[in-house]
Amino acid sequence: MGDLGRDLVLVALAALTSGVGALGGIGGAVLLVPLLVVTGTPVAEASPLGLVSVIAASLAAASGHLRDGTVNHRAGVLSETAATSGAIAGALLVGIFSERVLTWCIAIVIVAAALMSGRRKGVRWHPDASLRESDVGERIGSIDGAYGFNGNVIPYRAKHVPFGVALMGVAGFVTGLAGVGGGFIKTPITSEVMHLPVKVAAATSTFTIGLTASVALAVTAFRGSIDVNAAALVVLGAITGASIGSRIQNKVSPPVVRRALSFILVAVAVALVTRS
Amino acid sequence: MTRTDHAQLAAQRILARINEVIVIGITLAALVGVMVGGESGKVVDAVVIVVLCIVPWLRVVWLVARWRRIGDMRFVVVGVTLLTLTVVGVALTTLAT
Repeated sequence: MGDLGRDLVLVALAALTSGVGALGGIGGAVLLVPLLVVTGTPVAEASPLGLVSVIAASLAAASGHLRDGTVNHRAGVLSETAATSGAIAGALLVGIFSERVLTWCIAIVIVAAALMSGRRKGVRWHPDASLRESDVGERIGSIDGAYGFNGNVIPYRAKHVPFGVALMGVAGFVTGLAGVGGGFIKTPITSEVMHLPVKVAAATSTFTIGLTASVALAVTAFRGSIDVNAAALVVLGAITGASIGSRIQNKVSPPVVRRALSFILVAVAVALVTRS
Repeated sequence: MTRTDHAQLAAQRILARINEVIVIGITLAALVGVMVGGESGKVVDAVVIVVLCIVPWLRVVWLVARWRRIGDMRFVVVGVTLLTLTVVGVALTTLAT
């Protein structure tokens, strides 16, 4: 394959994985990196490109989420604080478990999360006719709020917040140990444990995975191990794919997003195990 | 009892506009980097990487400043903790390598 062919494949893969990632709020790196490795890119080059795709996709999806009020920043910052604490502890203790054991543990958790999301019927939160567009937003001092969908305003109230935050810390620890991003765990915890609507959970996770990936990319950049030309191609693909993915996510109903998320999570589990 | 942050959506729409401009800027810069190629292209692409590393955190700084302005001190503490943890985490990881 010539240089142009390789470049086009890179853009297409970044667009595809970022589009799928934006749909479920899981980021695309966990799918992009194995695909790049399969198509002949060394792991050391593919991993930073995965981080670039996550940040670009997070930024591309952000405008729509901000405008619709689907992202819950308070929930995002709270969960990211717990996840970052865990990730730092995990990164400092790298090596206490074998990578294979960690990968299988994460894969099992992902499949369990997929089953939880996929098996649940109906929706937890319903439109409230007494609420107006000005009621869309977060509650001051908590992670409760309301979001808009199809002209309706849907209020929600978080549950099991301390447990959910603790799980985020554990997820951060395990993903820090394993050296993978944790977007694929954050959305299910936010949606299924803390009971935030899946669209809010996906938008919030899309925001926080951009934060995590930007730190990892900065550390990688210090080491100078980024192919900046390939990164630019990934940026172009990821922005295109995530823009489309987030638009689709805004239009489809929460149960559809949940089912799509379940399928994506199973694909992620397979990708992780294959990569290991 | 908590109250709704009514001004949030309006503030977020301004942020969405700014974000759109940044995304368009990043896209154009990445495109220029790819088209130009060579050392000049690499410099443009490197700038794109630096912007990607910084922009997500500017949003957190904006959030903390806004929460402080509306008196949501609980989440100001959470936001400052996140920013501090991140700086410590990056420093520890960089030192470890």
